[in-house]
Amino acid sequence: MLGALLVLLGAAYAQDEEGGISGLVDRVSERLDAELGDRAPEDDDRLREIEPARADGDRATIMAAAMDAPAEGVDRIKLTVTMPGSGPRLLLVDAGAVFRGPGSADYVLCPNQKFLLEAASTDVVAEALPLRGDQEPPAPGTPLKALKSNDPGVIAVLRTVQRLEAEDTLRLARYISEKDGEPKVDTFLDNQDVRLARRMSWSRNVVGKLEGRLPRDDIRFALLAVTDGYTITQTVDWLRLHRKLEMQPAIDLAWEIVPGIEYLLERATLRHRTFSPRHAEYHFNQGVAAFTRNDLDAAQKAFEAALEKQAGMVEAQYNLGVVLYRKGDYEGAKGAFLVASGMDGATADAAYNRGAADFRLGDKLAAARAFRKALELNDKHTEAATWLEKADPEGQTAPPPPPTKKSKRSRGRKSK
Amino acid sequence: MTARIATTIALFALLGAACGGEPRRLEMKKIETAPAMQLGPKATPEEANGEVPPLQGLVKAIALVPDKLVPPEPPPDPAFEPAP
Repeated sequence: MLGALLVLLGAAYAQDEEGGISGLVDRVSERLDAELGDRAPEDDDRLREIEPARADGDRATIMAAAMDAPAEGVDRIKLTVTMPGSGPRLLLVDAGAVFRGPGSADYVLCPNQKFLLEAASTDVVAEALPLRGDQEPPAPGTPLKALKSNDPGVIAVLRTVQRLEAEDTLRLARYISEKDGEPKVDTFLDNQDVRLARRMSWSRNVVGKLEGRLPRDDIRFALLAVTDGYTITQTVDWLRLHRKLEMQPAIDLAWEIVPGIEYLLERATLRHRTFSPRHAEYHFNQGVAAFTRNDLDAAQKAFEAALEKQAGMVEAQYNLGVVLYRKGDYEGAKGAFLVASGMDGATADAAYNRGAADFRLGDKLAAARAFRKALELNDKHTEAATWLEKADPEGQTAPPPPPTKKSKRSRGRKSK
Repeated sequence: MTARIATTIALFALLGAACGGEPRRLEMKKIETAPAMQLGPKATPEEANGEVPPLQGLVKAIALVPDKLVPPEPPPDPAFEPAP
């Protein structure tokens, strides 16, 4: 193994001089055989058909994929790889390929796995993660088909993992030192980098280079957040169902995983604050969900919780007003809309709804003033224009006309 | 002879009336669509009757994946450097 890698290194440097090391590396998503490809389902725009690998020099091609037995709670897929040359070559797992089993059980491979290819045909076993939380893994040996992901969220998460493990680890390696032969984080610092280094598992590869790996659960639940709408609630359910945990241990474990998931989602430029109750955005989304299922009490509590987390969240303040209005608390709704319409980022709808509450309470002049405010913010707000006419037909709330310039009195001598 | 001509004309007129006449448009039937699902509580009767201004709806949930997300570029292929 080590000998082959040294040969690869030599070949890599020789290749580098000729014009690029990448000639020795094959990426999984680009090297899928046509026979392995599946037809993309018409009703699912998140998947598309693969572009079959072309015969190109000594490049490897993945000819078949099948489910393998899981190990340490992680699903695995066996890939049969062929290559025309004598090797060695490196097969690198990247983002893009989706492996589909019976019942639309979709998997992606954990990024940055590397396999050394030395024979004409090689079977490699790669760690894989499901794209849906409730899917049952196919039995070992079940053949899988390949598609390409068309989902920007999935690609963003996987490429972020690639970048974190391939590039950030070079920077984080300075915090690692060997203790009892095992690389561990050794620093008194506590910054974002150190926290990330502590989350990773560190090891040395065959040439002695330090490699950091993100926990599989961080990647798993970040993917499920994108594909299946997971928040911490669904994560707890998953842990109970698949890890057979009791409620409290599942909750404790979910909270342990949360920082890693949120960090990964944040680095992938996703709105990570919707994932856990640490943030106002999570409570906001809970409020919207409760409102749509007509649970107004729960919706009110959720929007109030969002405002406790982030007092200036104008959307939560506005939605609180809508909930109170629908509960029949028109005074409360008026107050909520009054606050919302005075906040940064207030929309014309906040002022309009304040007017609607005033109108219902019988204060038509206050309503008219609110409708005028809505029209100031959005002069195309047709409802505000219509109801301004009805609330103040005589224009009592119209702003006074601007003062006209007084004519200059002629000074000096009057003309005779 | 005249009677025969008159009969022929009458026959043609009758056929013409039967075949022609006012062109009729095909009736455009509306495509039936499922009614929009009501999410959340309904408007009050006063709002529905136009007695009070209709309330503007809720601000929607925040999507985890932004609409115009551009995934990051993949890192370059790994370079194998010997250990120092």
